[in-house]
Amino acid sequence: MDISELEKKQLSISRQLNQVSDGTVKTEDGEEVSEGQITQLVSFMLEDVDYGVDILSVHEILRIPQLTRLPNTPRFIRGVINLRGNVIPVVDVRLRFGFPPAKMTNLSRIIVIESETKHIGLLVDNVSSVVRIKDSNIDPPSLFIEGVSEEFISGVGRLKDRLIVILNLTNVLYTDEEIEERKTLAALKAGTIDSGVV
Amino acid sequence: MAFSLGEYQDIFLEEADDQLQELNKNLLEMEQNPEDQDTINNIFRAAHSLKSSAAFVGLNDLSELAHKMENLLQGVRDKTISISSEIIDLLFKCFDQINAVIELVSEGKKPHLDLSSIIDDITRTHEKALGNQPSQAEPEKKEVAQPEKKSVPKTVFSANEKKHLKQGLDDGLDCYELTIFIEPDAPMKWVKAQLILNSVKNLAQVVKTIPDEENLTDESIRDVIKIIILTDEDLKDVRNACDVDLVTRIDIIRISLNRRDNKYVIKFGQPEIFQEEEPVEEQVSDLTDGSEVDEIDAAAENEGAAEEELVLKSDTDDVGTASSQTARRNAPVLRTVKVSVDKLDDLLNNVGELVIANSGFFRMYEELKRVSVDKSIGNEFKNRIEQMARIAKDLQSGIMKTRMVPIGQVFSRFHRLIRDVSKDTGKNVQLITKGEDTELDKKVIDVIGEPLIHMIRNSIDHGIESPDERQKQKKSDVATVTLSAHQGGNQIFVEVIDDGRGLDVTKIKSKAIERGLVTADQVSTMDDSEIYNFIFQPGFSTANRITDVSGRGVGMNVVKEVVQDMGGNITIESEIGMGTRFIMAFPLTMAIIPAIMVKISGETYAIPLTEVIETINIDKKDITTIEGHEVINLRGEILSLVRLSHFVGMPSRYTQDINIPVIVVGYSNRKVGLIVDELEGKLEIVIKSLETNYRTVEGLAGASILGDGSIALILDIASMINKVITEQEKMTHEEKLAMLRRQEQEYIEMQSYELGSTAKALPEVEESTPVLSPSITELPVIDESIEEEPDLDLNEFSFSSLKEKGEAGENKPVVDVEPETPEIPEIIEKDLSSVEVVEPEPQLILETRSTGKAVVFDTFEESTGEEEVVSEIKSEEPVDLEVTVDETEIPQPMAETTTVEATTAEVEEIEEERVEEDTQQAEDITEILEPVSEEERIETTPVSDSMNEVADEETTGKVKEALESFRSELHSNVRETLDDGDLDKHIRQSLELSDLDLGKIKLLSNVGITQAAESMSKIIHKRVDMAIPDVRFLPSEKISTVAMYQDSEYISISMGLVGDVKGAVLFSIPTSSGYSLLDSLFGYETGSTRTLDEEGESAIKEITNIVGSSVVNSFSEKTGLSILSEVPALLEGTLEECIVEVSKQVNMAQGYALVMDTEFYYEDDRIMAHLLVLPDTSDLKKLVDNLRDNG
Repeated sequence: MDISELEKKQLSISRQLNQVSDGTVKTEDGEEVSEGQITQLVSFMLEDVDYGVDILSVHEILRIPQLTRLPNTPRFIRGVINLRGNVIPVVDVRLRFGFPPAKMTNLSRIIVIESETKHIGLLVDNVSSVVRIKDSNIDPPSLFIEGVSEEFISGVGRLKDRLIVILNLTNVLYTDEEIEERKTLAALKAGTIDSGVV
Repeated sequence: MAFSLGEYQDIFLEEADDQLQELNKNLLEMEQNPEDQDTINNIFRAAHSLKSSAAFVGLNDLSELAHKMENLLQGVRDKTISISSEIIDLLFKCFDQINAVIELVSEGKKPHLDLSSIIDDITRTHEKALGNQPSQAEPEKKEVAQPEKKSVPKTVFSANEKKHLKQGLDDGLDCYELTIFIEPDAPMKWVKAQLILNSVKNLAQVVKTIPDEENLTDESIRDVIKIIILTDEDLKDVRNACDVDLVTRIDIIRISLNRRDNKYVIKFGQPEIFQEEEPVEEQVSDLTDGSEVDEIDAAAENEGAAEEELVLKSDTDDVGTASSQTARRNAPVLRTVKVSVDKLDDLLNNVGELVIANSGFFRMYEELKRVSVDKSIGNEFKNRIEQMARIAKDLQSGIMKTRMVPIGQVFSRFHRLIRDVSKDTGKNVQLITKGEDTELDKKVIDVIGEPLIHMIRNSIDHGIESPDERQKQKKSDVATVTLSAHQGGNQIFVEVIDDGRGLDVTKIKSKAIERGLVTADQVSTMDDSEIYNFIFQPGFSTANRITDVSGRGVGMNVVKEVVQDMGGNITIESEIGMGTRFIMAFPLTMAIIPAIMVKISGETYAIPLTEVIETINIDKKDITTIEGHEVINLRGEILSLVRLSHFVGMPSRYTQDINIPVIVVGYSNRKVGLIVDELEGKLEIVIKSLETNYRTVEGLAGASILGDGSIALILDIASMINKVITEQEKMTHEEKLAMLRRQEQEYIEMQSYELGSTAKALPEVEESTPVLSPSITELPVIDESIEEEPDLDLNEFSFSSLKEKGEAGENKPVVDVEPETPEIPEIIEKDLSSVEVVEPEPQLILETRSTGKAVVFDTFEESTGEEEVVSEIKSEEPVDLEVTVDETEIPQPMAETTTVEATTAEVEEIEEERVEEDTQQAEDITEILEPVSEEERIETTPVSDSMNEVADEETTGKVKEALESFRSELHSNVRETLDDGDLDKHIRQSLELSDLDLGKIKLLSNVGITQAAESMSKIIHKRVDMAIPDVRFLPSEKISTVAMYQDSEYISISMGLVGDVKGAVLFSIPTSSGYSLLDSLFGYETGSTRTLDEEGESAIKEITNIVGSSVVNSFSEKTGLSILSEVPALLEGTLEECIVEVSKQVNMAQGYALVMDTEFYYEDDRIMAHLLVLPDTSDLKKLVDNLRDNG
């Protein structure tokens, strides 16, 4: 797949984002199923592995805008961008997943996702396609995926000829320590709610 | 689940809050003046309202309490009970109880307080007061006389309403008249009416209500309200909307509009009655057989001028007469809407975006101007942008104003506090409040109460002496605590002032030492204000005893925290025996803040202006390193330096050793200098939190989106400096040294680049010349030549040779000059050359660095003789000497000469000059916010030239003497030229202007400025006298001399000129005159304007616009040139500073500007305003030519 073809594809993905059709849809494998049974993923490639983010959490996909570096933040925080007046942090997915850094190219994209109440930009090398996958073809995360912390994996999808790692990026903004902290905090909060004080 | 009183809770709380405030105010009043009937009535009323509203929401205890209070007061009012302190105290107690209940409710808790004991108290007191008389029967109900139950006002439509009605019916909506009967005994009927109206509004358009909507808030609302609506909703829903508690009956009548002949007829259907008890099945009666009809003259209606009030009667009798309705309508009703601060914040945020987005257009305009040939489109575009900018700005300030709340409501709370605390402490204290109308941001108002409580308590408990002590000191018996608020500049000041004993510095000192906050040595060098600040330390209290009121040392710490959270700061002034003054300063608004934009490593950061004390330029040579911390001597004060590059973790890109921009910021009680790469100037920014989508980042307060859409991060100065300093501390000694070496290395490397660049600064001004304001940046003049000096080795040498020699470099003259004592940096700073740590162990060695002076000095030492140096410099200065001398400012020769002396003379002489040098060094550090224009720098050249020449002609030994004479000669020369000579001849020549041309320009300016005076007089409706405009060429630095004899404060507005003739206009009004002008413009009483608020500012800008435009217009008229004025801008500073500011906007040929200067006077010769017009010199020819062409 040459570059221009890829770019075209990315364009069409952006369009698809806006037309989540109703009724029946075809999965990647050409099977017709009703909408409720399939998951649509925005997929991107990283070191020869396909990753997918649930299209419902994807806000939009951007070309790389001007990035403002945030000093004294983890290395994987590439900075903040201005998205129509909102200041949004951008996570370099490569660095966050522990892959070696790579240069930004004109295929690089920022996938803006909405997680909890926050908007987060994910800097990825490319956005390859929107994948429709039957829910029955999604398996729970297994141990074989290298590198990426299981923290971020919500499942593995089986496609005809390949697998796609489905990501859960709720905590992608935070360092491992921060994630632990947040979990403890959340547990504490949940505890208080259980005891009925609030 | 939180306790709630149901849907009326909010209304109740709001209402109760008002009543409580009323109660509080009047109770205090009553204590002072127990016999005042009005006060008693007010209290009575408040208690009464509380009673009803509490009953309404089911707080029966509270209602009972209020009822008892009411009874008691009734007795007082009827004079059956005489007021006693016991009663007043009891009333206060009641008030506290009520307050407690209301607070619980507002916190969402169930009020569990047992009010029965206090109720009993009242009963007892009441009976006692009546002297065992049988307690009176309940006072008569004071409720407003009920209107007759069945009476319903008749429906009368105005022309507009009819139109509305017709329109609605034409649109296919149904029209109903709702007649709602409210239970006559129901409390707070107006609330119900309001509720009904609101819910109806959700479903329908309201055409009319009876009584009028404004009057629905009236407490004396009748039992019947009528609402005429247009709706397409189901009738049932409408009815449900009206059916709130205690509504007894709802009549619904359909209204239709039929056309008959040429007239419209309003038809009322049969009423459909919904009784509360037995809701009738929904069913609309037949509409066609209306009971009565009325006619509207269609023609008249179409004209929109239906004069006759055609009345349709329903089947009910009318009671509300027209006259009573009119009376109601005339009652002034303040219509208010409650809006949450969050919503306003959002709105303000959006407007901020609008302002920013708009500034993007200005850039586009610049671009357009560059590429487009057609000027008219560009100008049109610009006009539109400006219009939009104005609207956005108005919108912004409008929304900002809605966030502002007068502080009076906070102040009023404290009367009670003062009363209680002074009673507790046995001190007689009165509270004076000033400036209650001063408005603060709602956010500040919400939190300011707590710090004020602490400060007031502190003042009374610690500050104010006991009555005995006061008597001994011959102070008045009644002590005073003053709460005052006022606006000054961009800040609001809130002060707590007491006339007590003042802060005891020695006590604080010893306590601070005792607590280990500071050593005795450190304390001895601190000034009083620094010592006062210790009381803000957590747990710091000098009180010997802890009282209920204060003394635990928690209070003042809280005060400081709260104030700082709001972006403010607090200072203390105190005088032993006289009193103490706490001054809190808050920013005007929280949402948009002014900030200084800086660049570091190519990245832009914003520093909130509230944090900034000043901006200075320093030279590398002035930096001393003590134990790894860099410091400089700023006007005798040691200023720690922090490199912003250390915080952002990127190397600085500033490659020079001189004029390093430094921002002096406040850091706790100290000042810290922040070294940056570049200052970009001031900007209003909207703060965006990083937490919204990420988390807090240490050292950052947020982000802001700039005009070009890029993001600038906003520094949180305190946490940023903390971080940098902690990190520095963390380093081991070894690391520190390594860092120092690295830094040193860095600088050596940098030197190879630095010489090509130029310095941004103005030449030095001597004290002897009254010309320039001292704020202008100075620079040793030789810099110019040095900058062009191609030989890098000079600098390299000065650095490395000293390094080699280290402390052993005594044989160098440089070192001789230094009484080098590392412990006393001040002394080092006083020396000609500066000091820097290079050597690791003993920590200090000397190094002479790179201001012009120092370098020349070194050069001289290095080279075999000064001739060599001189010739080098000279060869670089091919400027024609005659001309340049003319242009030369007086001060430069002075600075020059000194420098040369330093270079050539003996060491003793240098020592002689030291004092002078010292002052210069101090002045080297000056404000540099504004980059200095090219011309100003060029002026520095001629003197070095002449200096060289002189040096050339003299023998080495006589250099000094010669310089002396040269200096005085130059002095007199320049003075003569300035005083008598035809100063601007060569300027005129270079601009190809003849004497005649100049005359024409003068004439033109006369015409223009007369026009301006005329417009001015039109605006203010007064005669305006003007001075004949003074039109002449002035060198840029002399322009401010036009303000030389002005010592009053001015409000200055500048306005740029664009188009065929560019330039600038400065319109300055003496502040006092400006205020009285505003008074008369706004129709206020003279003397009521005391600060320049936004309204005032925009008014003065408008005046500037008008005055400036009349000048500009007359210029365009006479020349046919297109000259446009830009949006006026308010300038800060003295008149001189403003003139300097404006002159920078003007393009001047060879540093000369044509100044048209005049003053306007009132009839009594008071100065009304000062007008300065500065056209670009390059456009003068155009002006003259066109004037000629046009005859």
